[in-house]
Amino acid sequence: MNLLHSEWIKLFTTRTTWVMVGIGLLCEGLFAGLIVGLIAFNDLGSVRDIATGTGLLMTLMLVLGVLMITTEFRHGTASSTFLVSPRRWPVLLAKLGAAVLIGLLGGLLFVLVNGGIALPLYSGRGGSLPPTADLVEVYAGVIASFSLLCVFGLGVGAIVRNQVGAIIAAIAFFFIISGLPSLLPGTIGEYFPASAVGTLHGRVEGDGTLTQIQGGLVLAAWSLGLWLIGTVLVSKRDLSE
Amino acid sequence: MPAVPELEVRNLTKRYGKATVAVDDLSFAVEAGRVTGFLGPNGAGKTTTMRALLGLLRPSSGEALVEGRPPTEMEQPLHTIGAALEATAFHPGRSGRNHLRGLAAAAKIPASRVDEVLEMVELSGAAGRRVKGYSLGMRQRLALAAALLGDPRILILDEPANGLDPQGMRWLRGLLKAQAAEGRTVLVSSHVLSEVAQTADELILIRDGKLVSQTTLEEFTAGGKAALRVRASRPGELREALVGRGATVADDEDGALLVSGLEGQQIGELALAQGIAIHELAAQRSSLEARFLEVMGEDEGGRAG
Repeated sequence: MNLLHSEWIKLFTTRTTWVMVGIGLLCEGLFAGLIVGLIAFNDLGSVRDIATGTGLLMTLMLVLGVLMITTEFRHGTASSTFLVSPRRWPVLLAKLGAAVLIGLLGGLLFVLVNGGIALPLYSGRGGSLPPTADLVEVYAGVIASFSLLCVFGLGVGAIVRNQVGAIIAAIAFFFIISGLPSLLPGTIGEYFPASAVGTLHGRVEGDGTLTQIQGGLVLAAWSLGLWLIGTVLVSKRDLSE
Repeated sequence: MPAVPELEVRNLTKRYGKATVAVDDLSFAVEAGRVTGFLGPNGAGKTTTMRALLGLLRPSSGEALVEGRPPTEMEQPLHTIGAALEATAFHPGRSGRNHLRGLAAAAKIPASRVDEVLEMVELSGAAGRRVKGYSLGMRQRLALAAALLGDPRILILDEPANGLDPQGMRWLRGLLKAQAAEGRTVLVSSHVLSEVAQTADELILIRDGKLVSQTTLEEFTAGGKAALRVRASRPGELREALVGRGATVADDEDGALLVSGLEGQQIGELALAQGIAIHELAAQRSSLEARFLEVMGEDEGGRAG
């Protein structure tokens, strides 16, 4: 708990976190207001598409997860951190907890912005909102995906360590490489993050075989797997700077 | 009390890759209640040794022990050992106080202690500013504050005098001596002997990752060749007389003699007995530095001075 508190302090004592969450929310708000308010109604797509936002804040959560560990290596604060806890896995566990929490927080803020702007506009233009239970499902999926992507980023950051390299690796792997198996015949693609996050958001296109919860579990398995590999590597490696 | 040294390295070896040996079969022990200077030229392996003692590096072979145990097995790390490693190890966008708050929270140290250590290192005024705007000296003070946070029994400081102004150096010396006087263990590294000469009771000298010598400051100085500089009316005769009394004599430039092994009084009386006039009799101030260079080897020594 002490270590989690420490990670929470670290998250909110640099401007990065505030700026990233702020910019993300601003863009999601603009999206909700401009796109839903102005674009031709027929081009809007389903209400699920609208309720999941642009994906920008979600991507920023992935980056924030990467930064939670790479800044420690970049600025050399990892040494101070691991002096307080020479056994390193508890620190990584605390970072995992902080990543889940910041994801939840970001997710809740997203729901407030999206639900407060996009949905009223949508129904105001004559769109029919789905039952509340369906909306809750979508929003729950979005919130969960924020936490899981933050953990995903943390895992990649712990493995790669170099800040820029880790951000590029995390984004490229998540959005590009892990989408490639979906091009293969069969359902193998569903077991990769890019597709799993869609499943978790409840945006399954016709032939999907996984339920929303199963999609979430697939994404969780990837995120925790990467975190575990990262934790083992960080525990083994020397800190010589 | 069982005689377990506070800090100990036993046959410590650290290799990076196959070719580079940073620390080579190094063994020494550091005891409580005194300031131990850890000296060597840049690249001698000081930082690597310190990091091994802190559990940040895994030895290739041998061991580094804190109170007789590997550092990763410490119960209350921040209360056991405090370290200031390098002055740049802060997030530039975080304030000094917040850096300490994060560390304090992790070790369940109350926030009031953060203000206490900031006061101790005389950084209270700048604590709310982001580290980005700190001078090197201020960063050193912040690093020191972090080291003192847990009121630890052992302090490990890597080149803490870098970037400090003369007042800062004097203040640092006072702090280190006070910490040692309270019975704590203080290991402080430097590549400049004069920085630690006024503070250290004990010296550990390493070069190329190997132990050169572990000695007290007095022993180290006494082992030096040149202790007194003497100019006399008949230097040749004086030299013979001095050698006859067991002194070691070397030539200085301008015909003066560098004499060790005899006190100034003895030299003066010997000269009087011989009827030789003494023109100059002065303690060779550089003898400590000269001795350091002598021990470390001249080639590397040029940089060490």
